Amino acid sequence: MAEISQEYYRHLNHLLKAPSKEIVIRLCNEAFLHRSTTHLPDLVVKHSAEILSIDLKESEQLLSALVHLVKKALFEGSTEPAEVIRLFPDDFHTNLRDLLTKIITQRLPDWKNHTVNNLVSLPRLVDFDWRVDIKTSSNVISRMSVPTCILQLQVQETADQVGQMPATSCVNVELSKETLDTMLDGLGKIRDQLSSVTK
Amino acid sequence: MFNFTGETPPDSVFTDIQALNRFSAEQYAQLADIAINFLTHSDKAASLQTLLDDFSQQQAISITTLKTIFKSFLLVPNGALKKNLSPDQVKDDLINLGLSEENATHFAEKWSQNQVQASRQALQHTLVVNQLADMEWKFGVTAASSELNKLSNTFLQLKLLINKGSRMETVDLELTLPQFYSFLHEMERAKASIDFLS
Repeated sequence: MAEISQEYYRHLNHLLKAPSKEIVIRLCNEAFLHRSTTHLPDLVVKHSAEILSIDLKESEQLLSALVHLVKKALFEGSTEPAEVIRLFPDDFHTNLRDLLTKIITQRLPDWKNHTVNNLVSLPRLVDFDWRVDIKTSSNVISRMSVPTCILQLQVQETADQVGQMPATSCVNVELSKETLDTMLDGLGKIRDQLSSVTK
Repeated sequence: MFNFTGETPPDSVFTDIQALNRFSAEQYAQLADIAINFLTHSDKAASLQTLLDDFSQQQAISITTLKTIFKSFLLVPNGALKKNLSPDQVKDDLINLGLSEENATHFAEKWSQNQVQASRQALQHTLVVNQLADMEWKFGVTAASSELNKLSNTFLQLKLLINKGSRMETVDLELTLPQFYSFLHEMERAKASIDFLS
């Protein structure tokens, strides 16, 4: 992560023009939401410029400074005010520093959760359904009664386009009694492993 | 009236079955064994070809003739499997098709010994859609990422190998810990349901 220069922190001083604390919280949230985009959306930049009555360029500088700050706070991951304060340079405006520190420590757990849920990963399981059928007849045997389990997994593919929800795909699997037993055996092993780790 | 079809089979089946009477008792027993073996271990269907090849060479019979006879011969136990016929009904059918009493009794005996195994085998080979062939898993803990320096997030990755009929397909997916527990729970419910039904 690039070191945030003094210059950047100076842009944060525009926040002093904010009419209320809520506005600052909102801007911090915007910064978090757009932390991975290369260009901040024009609408967001324009909106903050209007509220703070600054020009578009200043607004953009302010927002990218906020993005840097939020990203750094997130990476360090500390909710201790004393540690968050260390992110700011010594000569930073004290009141604004305390306000930002407070906002960051408050919002960080949420931001963290959100980030954890969107970590780089394999396609994610979204939902699953199952049903049990009984096969009563087939071309080989005219009368039989064999239970079988059909499992449908909804899997969310990895996103390949910025700003778009990745598609979910459905996977259908048929499990015989034996396969299901084997599968549960495997899952049971995982559970045992997990409970031995948490002990 | 034939038990194994419900109607009179074509004449060729009669001729083929009657041709079996021309084999010696030993040859016939060998053929019957091949047939029973094929029905009870149909996963070894490939070896049927070699078994018949060997048999035709040893006994100096043309392989094409042997195959036709064998195919007709299999019709009876296949039908019996489908309709769950008793050994006596099988014997009656074979005699009605023109097989000698002695040979028919021999086969009916073999049949009564192997019927259960054969139907079990047939059950396993009923049509299955997208069968799960294999499952691999791994789980771990994420310690850090580009966005978060310190992190302890448990994840579980599953790799499912699915038999799509013409090809095998692998599906990779990742589960969080709560998802895993609910998945396990649901699968246990499905198993309870299957156990109750079988």
